[in-house]
Amino acid sequence: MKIFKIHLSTFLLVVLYLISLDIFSQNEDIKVNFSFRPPNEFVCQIQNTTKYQVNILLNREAAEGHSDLHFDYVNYGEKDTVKYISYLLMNDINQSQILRLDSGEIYTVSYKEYFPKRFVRANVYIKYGIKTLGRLEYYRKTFDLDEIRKKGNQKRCEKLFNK
Amino acid sequence: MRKLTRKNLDELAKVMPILNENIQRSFIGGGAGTQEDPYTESEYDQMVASGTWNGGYVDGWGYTFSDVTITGSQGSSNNNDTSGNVSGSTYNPNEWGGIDSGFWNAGGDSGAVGDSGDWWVYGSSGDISGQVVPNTGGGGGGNVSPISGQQMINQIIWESSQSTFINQASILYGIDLSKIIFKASTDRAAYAWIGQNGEVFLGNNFFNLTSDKQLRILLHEYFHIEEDKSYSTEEKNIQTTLPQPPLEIKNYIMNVICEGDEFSYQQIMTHYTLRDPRYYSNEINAYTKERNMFTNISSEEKAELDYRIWYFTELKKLADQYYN
Repeated sequence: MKIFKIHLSTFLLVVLYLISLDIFSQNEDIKVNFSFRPPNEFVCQIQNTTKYQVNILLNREAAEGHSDLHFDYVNYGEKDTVKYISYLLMNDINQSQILRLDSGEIYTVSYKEYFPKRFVRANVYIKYGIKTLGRLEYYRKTFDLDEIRKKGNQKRCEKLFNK
Repeated sequence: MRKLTRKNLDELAKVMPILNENIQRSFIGGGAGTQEDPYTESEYDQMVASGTWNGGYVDGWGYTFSDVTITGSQGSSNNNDTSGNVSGSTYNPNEWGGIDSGFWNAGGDSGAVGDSGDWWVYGSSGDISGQVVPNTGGGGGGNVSPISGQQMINQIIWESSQSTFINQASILYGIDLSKIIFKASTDRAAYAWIGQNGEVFLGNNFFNLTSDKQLRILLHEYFHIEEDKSYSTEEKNIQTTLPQPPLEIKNYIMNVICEGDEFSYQQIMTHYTLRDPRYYSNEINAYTKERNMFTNISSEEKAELDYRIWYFTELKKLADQYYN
């Protein structure tokens, strides 16, 4: 009987741990990957890593305060200045503002910039919800684009040399 | 395995194209626009074409300014401190007027703007204000933005219809759009946005709209340029919920934005960040002007404007509590 109780309590603890992991592991709901495709394209991929459908609310204009991508852009001059510019996460302004991603699904948006070196950071803000769990959340991450550009260029060089 | 020797490379060079240093540099991502790491000419061309040129060092030219004004004089030109004719010579930026950049001769014989494609660039007051690249017109005055591909098509469409919009804005609403520089761009998904130098960029989707909607967008951007109050760019992490909207606004949010989904509606009403109240005031002002001026719009368009005015008004009220 005692052994049974120990097993039962261990089992309950494990179940509780797994449930809490599922509910509270907020940063695991969404995975954002930034990459650079030489010579001048930044690619942003948003993946739903949950078992459920995720609703992402997109900005149609910067002031709305929903999901957006801001680049930190350097203006070279007498004084170098960094500007925070909204680029939106929409591929098309006429697409629905509610982006529904099924489990594992990846949404891709890319930006071709003629002077990619001026783009130093990408700030991604995603306002999302999981309807099945009745949960509203947000995700925020900043990417160092110098690093990402270097990696992208290295990969391309490796590919060329390995041919 | 065969050892790679110089002789092999020489042999290779006979059958393979050799890229010069400039091309190699642009291939791996180019310069940074600084004196130590200048842009290549090709990068400069592309950036001007995209409307993102804000000045910087270009290889072989020195510092290159952002804004350009071409005046149409033929056979003579001014620099910033003297006036006089320049003819029969190719401009060397290091030899002229103490300015190490800002001018570019397309390689011709004089400072003329004409059919030969050779020209000089200078401001109307005689001050050097920037550079342009060849084959981008000239002679007529105004700013130059060489463009390509879809942008070029959109720019042509814009230039052919610009005067109609300027006339409509002036006659119907008493607004002077002629001072604003408009440029086609394919950089972002938005219909239009204001650039770093106060110019208005018109996105690809702008050109798919009806002319009435286009005019509304142009005037909206005009209100931002002319009437926006300065604001802090700081964004505060504050969780708030918007109050219950009037029924017609709620219907718009539910039916048009949320496609009938109550959960998405809750998402719209929940906010995690707030900005400077003046930022929202600027939006309220632009949309209110748009709403009051355009009385003959469809009920859907009215509903959209009412929603935006309500939405930014409520965000401003919330922001007022945290910023003051």
